[in-house]
Amino acid sequence: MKPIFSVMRWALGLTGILSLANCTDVIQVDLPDSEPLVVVDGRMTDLDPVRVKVTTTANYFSQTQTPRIQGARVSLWADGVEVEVLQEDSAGYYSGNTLAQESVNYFVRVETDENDPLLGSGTWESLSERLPRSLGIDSFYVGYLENDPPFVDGWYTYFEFRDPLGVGDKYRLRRTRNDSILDSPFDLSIFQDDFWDGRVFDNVDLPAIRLDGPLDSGTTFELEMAGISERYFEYIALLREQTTQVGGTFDPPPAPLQGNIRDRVAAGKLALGYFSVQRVSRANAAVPE
Amino acid sequence: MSNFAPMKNRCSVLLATLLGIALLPAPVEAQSKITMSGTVREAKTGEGIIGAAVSCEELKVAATTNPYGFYSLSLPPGTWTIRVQFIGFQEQKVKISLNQSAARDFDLVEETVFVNEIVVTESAGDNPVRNTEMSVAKLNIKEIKKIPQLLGEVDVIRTLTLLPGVSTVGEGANGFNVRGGNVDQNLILLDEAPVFNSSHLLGFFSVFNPDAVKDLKLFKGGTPAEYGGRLSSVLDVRQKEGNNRDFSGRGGLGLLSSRLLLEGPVVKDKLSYMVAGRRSYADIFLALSNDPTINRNVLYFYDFNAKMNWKIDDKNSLFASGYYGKDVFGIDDLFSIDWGNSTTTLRWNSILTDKLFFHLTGIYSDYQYSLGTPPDDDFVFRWNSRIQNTIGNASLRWYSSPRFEAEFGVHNTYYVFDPAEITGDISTVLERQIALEPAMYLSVQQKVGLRWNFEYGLRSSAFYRLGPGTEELYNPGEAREDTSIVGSVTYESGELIKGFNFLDGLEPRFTATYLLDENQSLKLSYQRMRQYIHLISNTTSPTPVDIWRPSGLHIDPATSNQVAAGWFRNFLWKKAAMEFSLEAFYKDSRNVLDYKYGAELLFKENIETELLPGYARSYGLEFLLRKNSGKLTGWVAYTLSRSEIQVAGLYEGETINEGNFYPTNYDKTHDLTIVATYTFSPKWDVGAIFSFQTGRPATYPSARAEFETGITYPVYNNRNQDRIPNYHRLDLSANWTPNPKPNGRWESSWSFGFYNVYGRRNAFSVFPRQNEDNPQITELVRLSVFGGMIPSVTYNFKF
Repeated sequence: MKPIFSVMRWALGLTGILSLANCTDVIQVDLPDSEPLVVVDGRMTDLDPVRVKVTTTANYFSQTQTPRIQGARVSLWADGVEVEVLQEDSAGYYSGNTLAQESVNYFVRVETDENDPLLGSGTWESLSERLPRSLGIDSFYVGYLENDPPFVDGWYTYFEFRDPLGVGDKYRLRRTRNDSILDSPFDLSIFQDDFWDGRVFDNVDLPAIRLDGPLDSGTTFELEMAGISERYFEYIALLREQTTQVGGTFDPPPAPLQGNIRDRVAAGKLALGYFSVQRVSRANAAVPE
Repeated sequence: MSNFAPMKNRCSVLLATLLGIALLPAPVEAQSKITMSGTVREAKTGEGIIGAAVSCEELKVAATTNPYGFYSLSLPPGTWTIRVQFIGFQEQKVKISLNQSAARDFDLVEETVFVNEIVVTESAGDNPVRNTEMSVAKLNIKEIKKIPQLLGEVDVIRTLTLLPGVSTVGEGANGFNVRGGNVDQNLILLDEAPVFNSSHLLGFFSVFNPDAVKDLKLFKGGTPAEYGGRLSSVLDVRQKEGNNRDFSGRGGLGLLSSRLLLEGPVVKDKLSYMVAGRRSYADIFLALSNDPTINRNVLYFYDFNAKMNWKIDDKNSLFASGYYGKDVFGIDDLFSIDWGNSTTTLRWNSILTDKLFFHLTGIYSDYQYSLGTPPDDDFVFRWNSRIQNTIGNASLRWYSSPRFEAEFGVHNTYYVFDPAEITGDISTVLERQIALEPAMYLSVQQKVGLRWNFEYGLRSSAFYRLGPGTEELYNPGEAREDTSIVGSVTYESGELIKGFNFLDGLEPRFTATYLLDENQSLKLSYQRMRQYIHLISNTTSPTPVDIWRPSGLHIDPATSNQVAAGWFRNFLWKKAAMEFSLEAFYKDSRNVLDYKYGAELLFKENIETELLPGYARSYGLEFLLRKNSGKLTGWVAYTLSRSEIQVAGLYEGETINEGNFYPTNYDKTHDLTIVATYTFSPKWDVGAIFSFQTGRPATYPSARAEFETGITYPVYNNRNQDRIPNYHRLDLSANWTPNPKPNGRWESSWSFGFYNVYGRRNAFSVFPRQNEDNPQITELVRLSVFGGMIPSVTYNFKF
């Protein structure tokens, strides 16, 4: 039997090397040019005034930032009444002063005139959103983790919070490390309370949630936890799903990402983006030097 | 859609007429004859041979053995020349004097490996020209062991995809697609027990250990009435019964797995057993890595097959068989997932008279998966899901004469679905769902005159969703969403939630064969199939964590109608028998499931809010040229087909591609396969496979847009309007069988294989991606499962 095992061992090694050649590579495909569509991306919170970015879509292989819409009239509406016209503080970015208040329905309207070189004359509105509930962050800290394979020993961030009683709460986390926001598709972080309604992540009821690590000495971290609407939760879930595909068998089919922006003039025409109202809380932590 | 009802009526009338024709002459004919019945077996092992022909030379009549090797042939009293034939076995020819009904068994001796060109005669078993079947794919297990196989692992399902009308979405995809149907539309039976997940290692290999498989048959159309429950196909796999004459074994050492089968008599010719097992060692690859994040991982599968066959007496036999398989994948100390099927079948066969064959079967089938953290983790989480079937089947087959056979049967399936249960630091459960699916059928095989052969029948099935349970009620004037729920109804245990009765579930089946001459025939078939359970999956191919859901208050059963017509011809080419077939088919299916954009399918109680019922149609041409004997064997298979679906709901979000037909994920316009093996000598044979397929449909972005500061996402218009690059591949193999040692029982062989010889990077998928280094760059990326040629070597042995 010895020769049999020798041959098998040799072949096993060879096959292992060759089969690891499983691969991905970038391919060139001819895609037709597309008509630009408006993309409205904005939010307001109970701590941050309203801010809206207005852009358009671009050809998929254009390889530059998408075009900004300048000179648009962007207004904020509360319970059906216009409360503020936002000011353009840089190309395509419009800011206001209003903070989100309890029990008020907010939407934004974007208007362009016939002189707009990309969109021409048009009006787009978001669907209404109001402040969702959230009890915020109870505690955010760094802790040293050791002897817990496969995690590498080191400093990690943890946060604790309490979910209010009643299913349906949705959350989004945004993290800033050393003053740089983590903004890749894989950093999109949302969760909901379907499985742990009313529970407390405090290392007593449930373990605190471990986030990032291991972190270098001196790393500073800011965590923003936002209560978000169910529609926005689904929007971010689909955005994450569509931007983190790896081509494997678990990938869901491509899906158009329609947010809550609607074309007021051409009712059936696709408009992209989302205007979200969020209740946020923030906390900071730093790894000891 | 509009021509559906008239077709149903026409077929019902035709069926009723034929039933009338059939039931009249048969008993009269039978009265003047006596019956010879018995079993045709392999001489070496005593295994019953399926599909062997027992014919009377003078009268030109023949009977074919059933899945247990039983035949029944009615003849006038006299002395007759009886021929018993089956491909790959030496023909037996005997003179038999019959004055009264008698039992007669035949033992056939296997042909030697190295054979000269032989001519298969008209009645040599499953002759595709003369028999009543059409749209049937068969594989000879011995033959497929000679052709190239990925990593040397002989795989029956991957080999089936080399035949016309059978495909997959790509390498490593779970399951298979038949005539434009989805993966869940295939009823996969192992010794009559349904298998819910037919793949190991996420789709690279099938759950069937080739050593343990005795026979398999795939019905793509013209499905006999005894089968039901899925829209597109039935794959009927039978395990070996066990050598009842001598102890023997076989097995192999491969690069991916090793296997061993043992079989033998407990009581010679009375009680035999077969046990087989496989275990993969992909974990070895992982352990070779120096990276601790890889070498601590676990990835393997194993399976066990077992069967006992007890011949109680000449008239009664009992079979008990089982299968247990599992896949395990674990990221050490972090996460693990395992999944697997188990089946148990207990079957009693009884020859009530020389013309009546009775069977009673009890079946239990179970598929479950479990995923979660280790039990000692800080945060303990485990998710379990399961589907269980308990089935009772009974049938009575009447061999009235060589020209008429009829079978009546009843099936009853009890389903228990446990979609999800979460335990650990958090715990919750999705409601258990219970259903009952009774069915009955009558199936007839009849020869009329010298040229017409018919197989027809009627199956009638019902489905009852039973309580306990709670069902949401939706506002009928809105799209079905969580927000359109207007109330709910709670049902007590055993209470009927929704019933689909027998009249709803009528499934006529009909196949007609017209013999143009001794070597060619035309065939026509129609079938209606009904499917009450649905695999909820919207990924590229099904995954182990997909769940099955029953029809009920909000999910209707799916129904398909298929018409197929074909020309079948046998002819000689350089003295070798060739088989040729050309078939055209058209199939439509209603209430097949598609999914809303961004559907959330995991842990969703009211899953109906994520589903979209669709209307699917597929049509095509299938060509097969096959050479089964001689030094050169193999086949050329070509399929030209189209598979489309239409989802046109009433409300926003319930329509895809503006309600127009669009290609399904598994639509492949051209599918060409050439398979050849050549036997140089008793020691050496070589094999080759060439395969070409149109790239499957894909959806490429029409534009891109920005979200916040760092994310660029693709913008899509319509689904499946593009295609990934075409697929083609060449595989080669060589088998070396050394001379066995004199007087030794040990025989061995080596198989050397080269998969994807020219190293083509065939695309499994093409997906959009934001460049990791520069988020302003978006690109399309091809994922190839195999980036190069894959060599393999397997050592096989038997004793």
